[in-house]
This record gives sequence, C-alpha cells and structure tokens, in this order.
Amino acid sequence: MKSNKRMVKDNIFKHILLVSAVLGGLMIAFIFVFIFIKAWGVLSVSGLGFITETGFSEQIRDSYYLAAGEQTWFFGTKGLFIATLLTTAGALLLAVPLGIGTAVIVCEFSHRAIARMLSSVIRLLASIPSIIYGLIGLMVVVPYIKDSFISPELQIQYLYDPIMRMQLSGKSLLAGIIVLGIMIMPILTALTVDAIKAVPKSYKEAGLGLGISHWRVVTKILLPAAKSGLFAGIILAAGRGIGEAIALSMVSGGISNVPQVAHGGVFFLTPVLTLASAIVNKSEAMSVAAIESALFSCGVVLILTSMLFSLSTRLVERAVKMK
Amino acid sequence: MKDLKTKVIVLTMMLCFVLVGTASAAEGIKVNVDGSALNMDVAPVMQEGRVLVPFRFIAENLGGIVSWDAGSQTVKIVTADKNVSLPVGQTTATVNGTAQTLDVPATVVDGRTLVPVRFVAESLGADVSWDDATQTVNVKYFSGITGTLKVGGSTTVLPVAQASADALMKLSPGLSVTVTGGGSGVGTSGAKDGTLNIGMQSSDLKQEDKAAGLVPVSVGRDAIVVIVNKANTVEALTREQIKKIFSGEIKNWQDVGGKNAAIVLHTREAGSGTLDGFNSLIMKKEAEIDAIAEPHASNPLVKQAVANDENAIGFLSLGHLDTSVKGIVAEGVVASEANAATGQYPFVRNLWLSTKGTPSGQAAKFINFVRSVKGQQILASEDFIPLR
Amino acid sequence: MTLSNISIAVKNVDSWYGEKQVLKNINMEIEKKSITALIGPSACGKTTFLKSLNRINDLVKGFKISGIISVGGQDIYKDIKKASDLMFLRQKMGMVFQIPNPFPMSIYKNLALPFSEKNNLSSRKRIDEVVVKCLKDVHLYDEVKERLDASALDLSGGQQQRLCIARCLTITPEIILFDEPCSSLDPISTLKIEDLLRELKEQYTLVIVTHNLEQAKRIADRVGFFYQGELIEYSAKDKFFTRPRHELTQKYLAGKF
Repeated sequence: MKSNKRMVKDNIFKHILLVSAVLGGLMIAFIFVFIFIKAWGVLSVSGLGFITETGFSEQIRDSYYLAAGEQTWFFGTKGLFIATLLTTAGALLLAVPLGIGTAVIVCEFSHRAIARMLSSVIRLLASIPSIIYGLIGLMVVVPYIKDSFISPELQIQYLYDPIMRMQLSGKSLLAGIIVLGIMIMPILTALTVDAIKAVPKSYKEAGLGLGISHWRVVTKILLPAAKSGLFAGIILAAGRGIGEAIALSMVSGGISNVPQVAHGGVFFLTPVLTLASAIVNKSEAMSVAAIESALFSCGVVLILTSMLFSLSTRLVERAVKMK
Repeated sequence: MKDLKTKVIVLTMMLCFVLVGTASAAEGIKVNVDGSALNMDVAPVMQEGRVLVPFRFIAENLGGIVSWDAGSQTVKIVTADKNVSLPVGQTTATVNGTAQTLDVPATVVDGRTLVPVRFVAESLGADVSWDDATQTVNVKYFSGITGTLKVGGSTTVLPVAQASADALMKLSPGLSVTVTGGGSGVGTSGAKDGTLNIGMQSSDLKQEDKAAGLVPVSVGRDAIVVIVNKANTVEALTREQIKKIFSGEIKNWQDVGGKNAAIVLHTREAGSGTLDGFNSLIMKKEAEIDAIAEPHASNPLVKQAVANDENAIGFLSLGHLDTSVKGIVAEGVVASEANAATGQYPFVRNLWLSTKGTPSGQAAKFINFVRSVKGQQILASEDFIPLR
Repeated sequence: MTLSNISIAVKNVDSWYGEKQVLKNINMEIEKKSITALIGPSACGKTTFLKSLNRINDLVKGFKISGIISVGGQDIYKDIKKASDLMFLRQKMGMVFQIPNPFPMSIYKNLALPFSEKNNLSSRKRIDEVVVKCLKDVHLYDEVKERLDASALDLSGGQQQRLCIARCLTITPEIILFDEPCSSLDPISTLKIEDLLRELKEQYTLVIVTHNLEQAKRIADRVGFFYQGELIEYSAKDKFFTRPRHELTQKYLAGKF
C-alpha cells in the first residue's frame, strides 16, 4: 500500500516535470517561430543578400521616409555582421589574456586577503549593467581614442576618402572592442577563477614537488587542467559580446560601415554598427513594417550566429579534449 | 452736501461688507475635475448659490485656450469644439455664437476674474454636479468617455498622441484609442477619407485639404535649434549653409567662417521627431543628410557629443538647449522660446490634430485633452513647445 | 651510519599548523640508497614530517617549523631563500603521493613535461629516450607503449602510481619521498610497486610513509615510529620488529592502538 502511494506520488511528480519541460520547450519554439515569422518579410526578399550586401543604415532611412508601398524590403547587414564578429573577436583577444592573467594572480599569486578582495571586486564588476560600461566608454574611451589617434588632418582626409567616406569622431570599432573587452573581462576572470579552483590541489603539489616553478606549474599544468572551464567562460563571454547592444551602441558609431583593410590602422577607427545595437538603435523606426521585419531579421542572424558559435566552440573543445 | 457725502461713505462701506461677507462664505469649497482636485491660487467663492473660480484654471484643465479682452472686458475661452465669450458683470454670454443667460455674471475680485464654474464647464461640454456634504463641485469631462477612436499620421506627433491616449484611456476605461504613424500625409488622407477620426500633422495643411473640410487644431509647436561646440567661433548660419553642411556639401568649418577643421555631423536615428522637424524645416527635401553623419538616439546624446567635440554640429529640440553647447543664430535670429513664440525664429513648425469638419464627440475630447494642462505637460515632456 | 652515508639529517625539528604543534623535537638521520619507512597511527605527524623534507608543506596556511633539516649539507629552511633554490631542492627530491596524481594529459607528456622543465630542453629525441627509459624503469613501458598519447587518466590506479614514480625519475632525483603510495591500490598493484621500490633503492634514497606494517616489514631497511608528533623509535628493520625498545612501539606492533 505504502509503496503504491509513493509510486502514485512519483508518477505525479514525473508528469509535472514532463509538462513543465514541454511547456518550456514550446515557449522557446514559440519565440523562435514568432521571430522568424516577423523576419520572413525581409528575409524572403533579401535572401542571402541579407548578410552579403551592405547599406543597412541607408535602407532603414529610405524605408522610413518613403511612402508605404514604395518601401524596400531589401536589407543588407554585411557591415553589421562583420562588426559583430570583429567587436566580439577583438574583445576576446583583449579580455582572454587579461582575464586569465587576473584569475591566475587572484588564485595563485596574491595574499589571501588581497585575493578575496580582488575576487569580490571582480564579481561586482561582472554584475554592473552594460549601460554603465557604455557611459564609461563614452566619457573615457571615446575621447581617448579621438585625442590619441585622430588628427584634424586625418578627420578632413577621410571626409574625402575614395574607398569609403567617414567621420572619425572616436566612436569606432576600436572603442567597441575596448569597452566590450573591459565588460566581458570580469565575467571571464570570475569563471576562470572558478575553473582554476576546481583543479585538484594534487596537480599543483605534484608539479611543485617535481621542482617545476610556480609560474610554470600554473601555465603548464593548472591552466591546461582547467581547460574546459576556461572554454565555458570564453563561450559565455563571447555570447555576451555577440548579444551586447547598449554599451556598443553608445561607443561604436552607429553606422553600418564595413571596415576597410585598405585603410590600414584606420580600419579600427571606422564607425560601425553591430546586429544587437542595430535592433536597439533603429527601434524608434519600428512603426514601419519593413523596418520591423528587418530588425527581427537581425535577431534571426544574431540567434543563428550565437548558435553557430557555441556549436563550433563545442566542436573545438571536443577536438582539444581528444588531444 | 455733507449728508450726501456721509451717505456715500456709509453705502460704500456697507457694500464692502456685503461683498466681503458673501466672498468669505465660500471657504472650503473644492473643485474636482475628473476625480482630481483643482489646485488654484485663489480659492473658489460662493455667490448666490453659485461657485465662482478663476477662469484660467477651469478652462485650461478642460483644454481651453483663454484670453482676456481688456477693451470689452470679456473672458474668451476657445477649445476644439467650443468658443465661449463671457463679459464681466453681465448675465449674457455667447457659446458658439449663441447668446445664453447666466444667473451670476463673471466678477472681478481682487483683480482676478472669477467665473461661475457650472456655466463655463457645461458650456464647454462637461457634466457638473454639486456634492453638498463635501462642498465639492465635480466636473466630469475626460472621464466616462466610451467608444473607439482612430488617430494616425505624423510620427513627430505620435509619441504625444500615444501618451495622451494612454492617459485618457486611464480616465475613461470604456474608450479605446489606437494611434498609428505613417507620416503627416497619411494623417491628412486618413482624416479626409474617414479611415482616421483624427489626423496628426507636423506640417501646415494645404489649402486644398482645408477646402476639403479638414479642420486643423494646433496642439503645440516644434522648434529646432542647430548647435555647435562652445569653442567654435561660428555664431550664425543661414538655412542654406546649414543645409549644405548637413548634406556634406560644406565639409570644413573654414568655409563658413570658422577654422580649418573637419565638420563632424551629428544627427538622429530614423523615427526621431526632432529629425523630422530638422528635415522639414531645414533640409526641405532639397538634399539629404549625409549618410556618414553620426546618429544618436536622443537629444541629450546629441548635446553630449557636440559638447565634447570642438568640430561637431548637431541639432536639438529647442527645449533641450542649454549652456553646455552653443545655439546657432539662424537667419539672423537668436534661437529662444520667445523668438519661437513670436514667429521670428525660422525653424518652428506647428503640430496639428485635424478632423473632417469641426471636431465633436470623442474626437473633440481627445483634442481638448491634448490641449489641456495634462496633455500639454505630456507634450512638453516630449520636447515640444506647449501652447501656453 | 657514517657521515658520508647520510642523505638527510634532521635535528630538533618542531612544527605547527597554526597554534597546534604537530612535530615535537624530531631527530633523525636517513641513510643513502636505502628505504626508510615511517609508520604510526593516523595524525601522528609522519606525513607532515615527510612533506617538510621537500618543503611542500609551505603551501599549507599557518605551517611553521623550527630546527634543522639538512639535505646534502644544506639547511633547507634557513639556507634556501630564493624560489629557484627551492626548485633545485625539489628537483633533488621526487615525491609520490597517496592518491596517484598524474597530470590530466597524455602519458608521454606526463614524463616529458618535468624533464623538459628541469633541463630546459625541447629536443624531441632526447625526451623520447628519457620517457622510454623511465617507463621501462617502472615496468610500465610494455603496458603502455602502444598508447603513449592516450590520457594518463585512462590508466588503472596501479599503472597511474607507477607512472607517477616514472615521472619522478625523469628529473633524476637523489631522494624520492613516498606518501602512502599503495594505500589506494589493490594487492597485486601494491606488490608491483613494492618490487619496484626494492629495485629503485639501488640508485635512490627512498623515504616512505606507510600505514601498512607488513609493507614496512617487506621493504624497509630502517623504520621510524611516530606517535603524537614524536619519533618514538627509529632503528634498523630487524631490530625494530623483533626487539622494539619502547613500550608504545610494542603496543603498536601488537595492534593495541
């Protein structure tokens, strides 16, 4: 009798779990379908051109000011796509060494009290909303870039540039990379600290016992042992980078340019617009159906990009593990 | 002679007592408009069983624009659907051209013109009731409206209309207002063909549209000021120069009297009412803003960007101008609210709500709400210049 | 024991974890190329003592020590100030832990890493030689030669422990410290390790902490008995097991603890 009762209880519980899992799945599916339906108007017209063609800023403007019926449903977000990849990749290049370095110092090379203080500061930094980083970027990073890299002559020169005219105001790919890098560094550091702490102490003892220097123990044994934790941190940080909208829209310039390699170092001074920022920046114009659909299409590309990214990193991770 | 003098003095004194007596009897009387108390700097007074209040307060809360004709000693109140003239001291008033009789005339007390609240409110279309227990006059105008209302057109006016609709629907849960964009043209054609009850326009109606029966009612004004960094030596520009600067034709400050430096353009994201205003008042479809101009999401962000870059130029709604940047003297006129009000300043446009025929019913109430104290606060918060 | 025969000399060593004293006035000389077994009940200080010999206890917060431990004539606490000297000391003293702790990398890399770190070498050929030799020395080579690139964590416990010993051999130490190396292994693996230890003492000085009296009996040359932080008795194996002098040792050997 008793066991029967318990079985009924278990069954009910199982069913509740099942229902909530199905509901959760349905909700996600619904969101996907909703976004895709909204995006279809533009995606069906633009096709692959949506990510291989340029001119997003102008297309938004034209759609907004043309009368209904004359609006284009063709949008090209190549610039946005490239800017999204560049800012995220650049931010990772900046944040990964800094974040891991900080984590190593916190875990291995600082006095306990200092380590604890650093740890809590890092966790605090990781919880600061991105708009604050955007503000700091706007007040500190952008003026710094303008003062250090942009001369009045360069500004004038690029107003006439034959390849791609642009205003060099300091709001740029570089500013985006720096702000995003600073923003994701604490997350990366916090996750790396956790990963390093999760490495069994015996590895460190063994390494030191073999007369290997502390630094070499860290770089040769602890960090490789913490590899999968590091990967998880990098994926999470990259995900935040790809999806970051507010901070980037404040410092990156807001124009759908494709940075030109032919410009040399000015490549990094190009004002850019990322996919996520575009959704925020252009949302005021969403009353126009074509623009609404275009912004949802940006959302689709954004989702696909992050999915592709996490998938590929998982593959890389597996390959690394195999070794 | 002496007798007469004494009589006059006594009579005058008596009169004063009577007046003071009747006026002070009104202590503690309250006036509620749509459930919220009217805060007036002069307390309501009771005369011959009628409550009198300063005309400005009651009229403006119901969306009326008031004026005082000193010559004929007449109070004039204009709303979207009513036109009330109230001569002081007379029991005859005019409502939409028809003469009406009052029990108690408008009166001047301590230099303030008081009007009978019931007569004015009812003339403007409100319901008035008296709660003896709480000594309160309840005026009902924007509450209890039912039905549906379609408003559409100018995206500049849209945020004001939307916020007003939200506030009005809160007062009248039975009312459903939908607000859509599409531009002033859509507002005009929609109001003409009846698909919209109210059209929104940020440009003046054409004569032919007025001839087709559209009646525009002004709800506020939009003024644009072009701004530069305080360190910039350029003080004044013509519309033509501003247009050429923003279209990218003029690229260097030295071409408009400044130093040899690149002009850095700051504009707004598509969908901004301020950008609409700039385009219609300055670019005028003769040229487009250069695509390399840096777009911003709000007036403060443009201001911040211009304040931090010596070579920057941007534009704001006039209400946002402050000392962190320099407002450009346009066509020889300093950008100020005063100059905008007189019409001297060139970059000003009216914002309109228009209906087919004189507004009536819910449409009139909606327009009056936008023109009321509350509606005008909303309008000001969207960076436009209010009517009063 | 002649002076030239002494590998480690310990004089008047006391040590503490925070306020708690864990070693009390330890005096001991450890003979070269022999197996010295340290026995005693749990928490008697034998492991602390072992880990003091290569200063791996420095990692423990609140650890303090006084007295002299000299290795090759050098007082390892007072004479060693620089991190590089400490590294050098540890390179002279390999250590094998209670739970096998191969690095989470391939079998090959487990051996190549300490070797190339010590010798600052990257010549693949030289490393290959050393890896093969050390694996052969611990009789692991035949078992793993087909899969040197496989993860060391895939080996059995006994194989992992032998790999850890081989890892020590790559840095050609003079002394190898064993902290209960067989406590987590099955009997057959244990016997293999014991055989190995007997071979290794031809070349190395071995100090082994063990819980297992039988093991000490089988492999040790000298035995030290720790009790409550004190070295109660320290003598040659035969004497220790047949004629223990101290009452506590007798009780311990009789299993009366």
